[in-house]
Amino acid sequence: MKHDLSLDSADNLFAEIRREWRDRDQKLDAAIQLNNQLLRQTLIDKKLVEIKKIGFASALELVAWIPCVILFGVFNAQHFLDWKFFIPGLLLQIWVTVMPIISLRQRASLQAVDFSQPVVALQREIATLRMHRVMAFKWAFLVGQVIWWVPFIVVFFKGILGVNLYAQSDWLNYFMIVNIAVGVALIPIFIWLAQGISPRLQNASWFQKLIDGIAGRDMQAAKEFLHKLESFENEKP
Amino acid sequence: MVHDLNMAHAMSDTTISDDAFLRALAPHKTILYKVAYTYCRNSDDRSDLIQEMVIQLWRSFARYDDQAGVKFSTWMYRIAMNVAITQYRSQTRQIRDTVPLEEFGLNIAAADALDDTASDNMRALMTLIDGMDELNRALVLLFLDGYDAAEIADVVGISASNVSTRMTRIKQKLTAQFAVAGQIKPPTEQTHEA
Repeated sequence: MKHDLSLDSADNLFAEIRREWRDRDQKLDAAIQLNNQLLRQTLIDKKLVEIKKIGFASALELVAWIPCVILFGVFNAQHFLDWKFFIPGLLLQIWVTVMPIISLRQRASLQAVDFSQPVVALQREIATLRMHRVMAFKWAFLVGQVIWWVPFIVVFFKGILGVNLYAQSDWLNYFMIVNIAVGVALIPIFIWLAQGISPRLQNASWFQKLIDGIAGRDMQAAKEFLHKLESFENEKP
Repeated sequence: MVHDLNMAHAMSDTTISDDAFLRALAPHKTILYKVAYTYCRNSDDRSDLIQEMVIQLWRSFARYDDQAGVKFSTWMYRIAMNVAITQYRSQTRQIRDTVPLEEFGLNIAAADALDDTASDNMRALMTLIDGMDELNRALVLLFLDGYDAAEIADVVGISASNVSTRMTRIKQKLTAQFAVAGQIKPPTEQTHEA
């Protein structure tokens, strides 16, 4: 049965609920036990673990990143006018330079987020950061599957083993051209296929997350939340 | 030697700051539970969420300035709600390296047990809150805690008139749902009985 309830009855009901809420608050205050000594120690331990983790991750990134940048830089300098090697080398150089910078910037932006902002402002900032992360991940994967295949093999054989793959046989040249073409063609195909796979369920596997990222579902979800925040903020009384 | 002195100063500053943080947190510890309970019904996830809230509050404490006129409870609500909504929106568990809450320094077992003695109104209210989106939950929680429209606006980041409009709608909707659920009687019947 549906009732037409007045504003007065709503106010009365909520005045009663507020009273009950205050009572519950007092009971909660008595029920929740805060162990200051243990909490202080836990927080200090967390801080030390965080410092160690950040230091380790940064060191690992530098160890992996700097040699790659140097090696591709040396390779490109040696093959500056030889476009067959310079172009794949340049693509890889751009990748290994740009991706860590994007990753570092995103991490720095996340760490700089001020959680004491008003809810709508903070959630908008996080949704925007999420959109950037999803976009970066999607294109890192789609472009990566092209350049970390044939271009990388060409550069690896020439740079490390001294073998010119272009000069081995016509068949190999044909194979490489076809593989690059297929890799480029796979970009829209991957997006199309990913959009056809069912949306993710809760506790999705890494594969489903990858699919969602490529299909743009995560991006769509972030955009929808931004619209929701805008509507929540701007609704006229 | 200089390094050791700097470390000693740093640790001393940290201890002072930690003590101030814990002193400020203690009178408002129920906010942690209420926000966590509003956004998270699974007790394990709630325990993780409370830890994440405390850590974020503690990280942000250096930036808190009570001279700026922001009450600690308001500042705490902002952070706790932002952490809760962020976790609520992420579909996977973001928190790792958590410990049982008792080992963390908080014991909420007795608070959880209060559920068993909750009134019908409280149970119905919680069920209704579960059906709301993450932003409206924030409004309701602050309203229940006695915040007025201007204070809610300050925490949530929308205008006070917007808060008032939304709260009127929410109250009407919840009242109707309460009536359907049999928690209250319609005004005509109440008048008749009176």
